[in-house]
Amino acid sequence: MLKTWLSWVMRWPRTAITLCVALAAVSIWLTVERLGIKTDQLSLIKKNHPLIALTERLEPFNFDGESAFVVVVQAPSPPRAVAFAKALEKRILETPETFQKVFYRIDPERFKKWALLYLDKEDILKIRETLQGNAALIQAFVADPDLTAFLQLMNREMASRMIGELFTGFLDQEAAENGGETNDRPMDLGVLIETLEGLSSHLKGSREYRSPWSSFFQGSSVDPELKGYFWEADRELLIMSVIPVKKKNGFAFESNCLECLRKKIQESQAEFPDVRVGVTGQEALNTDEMLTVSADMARATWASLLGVLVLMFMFLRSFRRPLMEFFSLGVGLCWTFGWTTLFIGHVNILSIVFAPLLCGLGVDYGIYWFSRMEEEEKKNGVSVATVVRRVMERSGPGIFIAGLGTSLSLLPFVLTGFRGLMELGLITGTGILLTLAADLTLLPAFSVLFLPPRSPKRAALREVAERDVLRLSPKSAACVLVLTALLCVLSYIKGREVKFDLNPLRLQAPNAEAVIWERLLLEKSRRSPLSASVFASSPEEVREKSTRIEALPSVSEVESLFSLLPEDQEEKVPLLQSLLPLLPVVDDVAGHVAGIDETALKEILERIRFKLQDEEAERWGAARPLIEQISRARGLIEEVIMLLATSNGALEGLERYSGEFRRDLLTTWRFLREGASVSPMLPEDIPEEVRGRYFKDGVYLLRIYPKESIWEEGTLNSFVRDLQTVDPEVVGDPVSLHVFASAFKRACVEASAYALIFILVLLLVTFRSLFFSALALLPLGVGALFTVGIMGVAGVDFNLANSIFMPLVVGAGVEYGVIILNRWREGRMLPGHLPYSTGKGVLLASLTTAVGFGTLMMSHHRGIFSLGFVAWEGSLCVVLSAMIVLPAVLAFVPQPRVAVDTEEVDEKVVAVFGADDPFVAVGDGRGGSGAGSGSHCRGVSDPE
Amino acid sequence: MSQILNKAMEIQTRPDLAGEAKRKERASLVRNLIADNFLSDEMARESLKGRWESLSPKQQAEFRQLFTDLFQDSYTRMVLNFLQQENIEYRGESGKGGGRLVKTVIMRTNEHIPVDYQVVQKGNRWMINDVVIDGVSIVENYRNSFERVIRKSSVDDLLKRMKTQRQAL
Repeated sequence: MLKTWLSWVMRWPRTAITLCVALAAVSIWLTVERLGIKTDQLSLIKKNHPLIALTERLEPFNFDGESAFVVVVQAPSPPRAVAFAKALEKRILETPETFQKVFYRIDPERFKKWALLYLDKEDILKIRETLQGNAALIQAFVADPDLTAFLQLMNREMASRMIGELFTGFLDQEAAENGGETNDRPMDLGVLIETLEGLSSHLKGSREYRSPWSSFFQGSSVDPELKGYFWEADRELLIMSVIPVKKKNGFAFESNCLECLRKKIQESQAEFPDVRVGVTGQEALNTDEMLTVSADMARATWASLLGVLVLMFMFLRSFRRPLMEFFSLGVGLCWTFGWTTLFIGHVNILSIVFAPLLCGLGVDYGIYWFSRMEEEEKKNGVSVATVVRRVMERSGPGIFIAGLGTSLSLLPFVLTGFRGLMELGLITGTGILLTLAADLTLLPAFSVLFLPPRSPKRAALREVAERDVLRLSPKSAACVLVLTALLCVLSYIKGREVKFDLNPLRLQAPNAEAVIWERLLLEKSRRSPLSASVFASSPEEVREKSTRIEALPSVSEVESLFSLLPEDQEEKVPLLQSLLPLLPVVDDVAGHVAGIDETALKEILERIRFKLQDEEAERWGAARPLIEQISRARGLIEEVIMLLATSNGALEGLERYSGEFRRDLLTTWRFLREGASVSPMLPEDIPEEVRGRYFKDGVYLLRIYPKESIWEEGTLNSFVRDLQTVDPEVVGDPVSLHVFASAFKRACVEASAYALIFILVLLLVTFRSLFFSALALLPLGVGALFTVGIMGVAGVDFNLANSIFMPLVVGAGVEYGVIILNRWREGRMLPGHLPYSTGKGVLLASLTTAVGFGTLMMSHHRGIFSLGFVAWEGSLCVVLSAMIVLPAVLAFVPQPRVAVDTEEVDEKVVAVFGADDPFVAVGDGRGGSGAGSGSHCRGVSDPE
Repeated sequence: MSQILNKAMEIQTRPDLAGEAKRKERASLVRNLIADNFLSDEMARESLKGRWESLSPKQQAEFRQLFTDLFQDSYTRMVLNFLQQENIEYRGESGKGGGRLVKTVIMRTNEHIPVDYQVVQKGNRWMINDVVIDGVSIVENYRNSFERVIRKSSVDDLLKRMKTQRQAL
C-alpha cells in the first residue's frame, strides 16, 4: 500500500503538494468560519448523562437558561455602590443588541407592604420599645417634620435625659437592678449623627441623601433607599447580574459580551474612581478561562513549532529538511483543525491543548524519515529517488506502525464515554494519523523535488557507525538497575503523597479578573455562592424535602418559595398591629412646607453641643459606644457651624437637605404605618421575578447551600451524597462538579487502561512475545512511577487538567521502548550499549515531544501549566528510562541472532570496519553469534 | 443670682481647690451654697404636687429630708461637672409679684446653654425654687419621675428608693 502511494507521489509530486496545500487551505477556512469553543463543564461529561437532562430542567429557574455575568461592586459606602450600580445599568442598557437585562434589585416597593413582617420578633419589639421610649419626640417630629424642629426636639430630649440622669437616675437604676422596666435607656445618638453627617455633606455641596432613620431603629428595619439590593458581606459588596441577549455564536458572542461589559464598567468607573468593580460568575470564569487558554495555546503552538524546528536544525544539521518537516507538520495541523471542525465542530477546555501536543508527537515521523534518509544517502551512487524509495520501503512500515501505535494510544479515549476526553482522543489520535499522512506524502514529494543528491562520506559513516550514546558494562548495568529499583521505591513512597485537587478555581490563571472577584466573593460572603437544587411537585413535597434536607449535617440553608415568606406571620401580624397606636398619622401634615432659619439652626446646634461633654459623660456612667457617639456628634456640630459660617453655598445646601429630610421623614412614617397594618403575605404576593426562581409551571425548586466549602473533595462528596439520600435527582453546580470530577478521574484511569491494552495488543502482534511486549512497556512503567514520585517531591497534585498526562505519554513512552527493542532484536546492539543512530532518533523524538508538552507550561492557566509540567516531566522520565534502564535490562537478556541485509552487507561491513574488525563475524552471512551466545556484535546504523 | 453664680464660679476656679483631690472640698462648699440659696422644702412639696396632702406628716418630713439631701447632692455634682471657667450672660427677668424668672445663658465657644432660675422673695432675700435647664425644669423632672414610681408601686417604695440612694452617697 505504501509502495503504491509512494509511486503515485513520486510520479506527480507537484500535484501531491498542491492537493495537500489546497486541503490545508480549505481546513483553515473551515476552522475560522465554523470551529466553536465549548466552555460548559457539563459539555465535557457523557452526552446522555442523566444530569444533563436534569440540569436543563433547572434552566427556566435561572433567567430562563440565559447565561449571566456577575458584577461585584465594592464601594466605600452602600449609597455609593447603589449610585454606581444605577450608572452602570444605564450604560449597559444603552446596548440592547448585547444585553437584555440587569438584575440587582428587587423593587422594594413590591415587598414594602410586608417589609416589617420580615423582621425578627425581637426587632419588632425593639421598634415598639423605641417608639414607646420616644413617644413624645415622635409625636412632635411628625407634627412638625422640620430639620430645626427635629434638632430642637433632640436637644430637649437630651436635656431631659441629662437632668433625669443627674437628679432621678437612681430611681431607674434601682428598677433595672430589680429586673423591672426602666424609663430612661441611654440615648442613642445615631440618628443625630447621621443627620449631622448628611447636613454636613450637603453643606459641602453633595446631593446624596441618606435616610437617618435606620439609625433611629438601630439598623433593624427601615432603610428604604438601600432595600432590595443584592448585598453581600454586610453591604460591602453589591451584586449585579447582567444578562446578555439570547446566545448567538456561543463562545465568541460570550467573550464579546464580557469585553463590552468590562468596557462599560471602565467607563462608569471614570465617574466613580473610589469604587472597585469586577466581573465574575460561572460564565465569566468559563469565558476568561477559555480566553486565557486560547491565547496561551496559540502561543504554545508557535513556541512548540519553533522549538521543534530548532531541535531539528540542530540534530539534522540542515535547513532545508527541518523546513520541509515543519511545513508538513503545519499541513497536518491544518488538516486536523479542518477535520475537527467538520466532524466535531468545536473544541473544549481539554481538547484545546491538542495543537502543541501534536507538534511534539507528530514531528517524530519526519525525524525518523530524515534520519533514515541520512543513512541511505551515505551509500555510494544512489539517486534521490532511490533513497526515497528505500526509506519508504525500509522505514515506512516502521514509521507507519509507530504512528498507528501513538494514534491507538489516544483513540481509545473514545471508550471512556467522557466527552472531554473522547474529543481530545479523537482529535489527537486522528491528528497523529493526519500528520503521518502529510509526512508520508509531502516528505517524499519535497525530497524528490528539492533535495540534491548527497555524496557519501566514508569517514563520517565510520564515525557514526562506531559511536554509542550509551555504553554500560555489566557492572554498570547492574548498578543502574539497583538504582532504578531504589528510585522506584522512593517514587512509590513520595507518590503516595500526591492527592487529587478538584478545585477548578485553583486551575485558573490566578490574576484573571473573574478569579480574583470570585475569591473575594467566596471570602466575604455569608454563604457559598454555589447551591444545589432539588425539584418538588407540591407545597407538601417542598416542606417535606426542606425538613429532611435541613436536618442533613452538610447543609447550611434551604431556600424555597415558602422560605421567601416571612416566618411566624401569625405571631408577627398582631405584634405589628400593636405598633399602630404609637405611630402618628402623617397625612395631616403632608402639605405643610417648613422653612429653614439658619440662625435658629445654629443656636440649637450650640445648645446640643453643650450637652455633649464626653469627659463628663464617662463620669455619669455612659457606656463607651455612647461616649464615642458624643465625641463624633460634637465634631460634626463644630463642622456644620463652621460650614454655615464660611461656605458659599451653605444656605442652598441647608435648604436642600432640609427638604430631603422632611420628605424622608414623611415617607418613613407612612411606610411604618402601612407595615404595621399589614395582613399575612402569601406566595402569590411574591413578585414574579423572585417567585420564578423557585416556582415555574407547577414545579417547585429548592435551593440548598452547603455548610462548608465545596471546593474540597471530601466536603463536596459528603454534601452531594447527603442530598442524594433525600433526592437522587439533585442538580446544580456542586452536583455537576462532583459528577464531573468523579467522571473525569474515572475517565483518565480508563483512558490510560484502554491505551495500555491497545498498545499491548499492538506490541503482541508486532513482537509475538509477551516478554518483549512487557519489555517495551518497561520505560513507560518506570517513567510514570518516577513522574508521580517527582510530583510528590515537588508538591504537585493531580487536578482536573493534569490527570490526562498518563494516557498522553503512553503512546510516546511505548514508542521509545519499541524503537530500542526493535534495534536490539536486530541483534546489532552490544549488551548495555545504545547505538548512536537509535539514540539520536529516540532522543530527538523525545525532545520534540517534551517541547510539545513543555510549551504548555507557558500557559497562565495553572491547570494547563500543571498538565504541561507533568507531561513534560513524564516524557523526560520515560525517555530516560527508555535510554538508560531498558539498555541496562537488555544487557542481561540473551542476545538474538543478527538479521543481515544481504544486499549490502559484504560491501558495507568490509568497507566500513575492515575485515580485521574483531567484533564482526563474517562467514555465514550473518553478523554476530547465535542467540544466547552473549558475544558482541556491531552492525551498520539503522534507526529502525 | 449674680452673687450666687459668682460664688459658685469662684469655688470652681480657686487655684487652691483645683484638681480631683480637692473635689470633696469643692463639693462641700457648693453644697453649702445650694443649702443657703435653694428652697428645698418648697421644691420637695412641688415635686409631689397633687399627692403631698395625702402623705402623712411623718412621710412628709421624711420625704422633705430625703429630697433635700438628694437634690443638694445632685445639684452639687452638676455644678462640679458642668460649671467651668465660663461667661454667664444675663438675659433679663420676667414675672411679677413675689416670683421672678431670671434668664441666664452659660456661654462657651460654639456652644451655650440657657439656664433659667425661678426665684421667690423670702423676706429680704431672693431664694431659688426651681431651675430650668434648656427648657427642662428640675422640679418637673422630679415630679414626673416620682409620679411614675408612685403609680407603679407606692409612696413607701419611693421613700425606700430615696433612702437607699442617700445611703449610697
